[in-house]
Amino acid sequence: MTPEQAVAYFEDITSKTPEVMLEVVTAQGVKFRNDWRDNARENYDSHARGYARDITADTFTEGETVVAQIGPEDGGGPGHQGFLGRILELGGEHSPAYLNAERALPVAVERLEKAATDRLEEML
Amino acid sequence: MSSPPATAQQSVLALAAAAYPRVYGPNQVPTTPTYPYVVVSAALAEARSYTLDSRHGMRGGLIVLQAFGHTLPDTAMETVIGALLDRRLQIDGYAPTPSRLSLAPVVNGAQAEDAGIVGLTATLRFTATKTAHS
Repeated sequence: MTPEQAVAYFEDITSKTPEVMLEVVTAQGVKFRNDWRDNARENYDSHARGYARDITADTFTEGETVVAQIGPEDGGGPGHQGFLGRILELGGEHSPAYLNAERALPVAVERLEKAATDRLEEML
Repeated sequence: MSSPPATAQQSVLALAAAAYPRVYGPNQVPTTPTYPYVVVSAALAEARSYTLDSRHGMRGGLIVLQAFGHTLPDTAMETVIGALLDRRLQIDGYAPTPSRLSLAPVVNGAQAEDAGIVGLTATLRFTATKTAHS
């Protein structure tokens, strides 16, 4: 491979990376959302039955940064209980902190790092 | 002379109570508490690093801190975090890593029965390797 060919090769990879990372982060965001929902379903069977459905995942770009926004919809959502997110997750003086997201996060971070690394290695 | 058995909860309570006067375990808060105060809990969680004969080698550990006050209880929270961050719990049968801040203090949700009380929630994590004799 000539130096010019090497430059072209890496420029091609660089140009494809944002789109590929958007795919990776979107897929991983959905997995984290699902784990968060699963934790929530295990914890609430009566008063906050609709809460898990109101945990949503959105992915978008901000310049060169890919952002995954995962969490309960403050405005409600299909279960109409997203507004309970803060109290259910973090607790209060008379409520336990269920930490559904916090418990799912270490696995999600590990999984995201592996998925991004694997995808980049496939591109090389 | 061997030291008394220690659980994650006993160890975190001892470290936090040495740093701040009003530290309680879950369900141990007085009926009419003096504010601010901090509730601490710690437990070993998921097991990993299994051997072929299905014995685990490590456990993840989670410490949960909740501080409550009439005003933002940030000083109480920071004092307790300072007593735990980068410190190792003493847990019978395990060698824990120093504790790392996982969830930085967040103001928790207010509800009617908590009227006038502001809460902060934070978490730390550690990994505990099973010691040879356990």
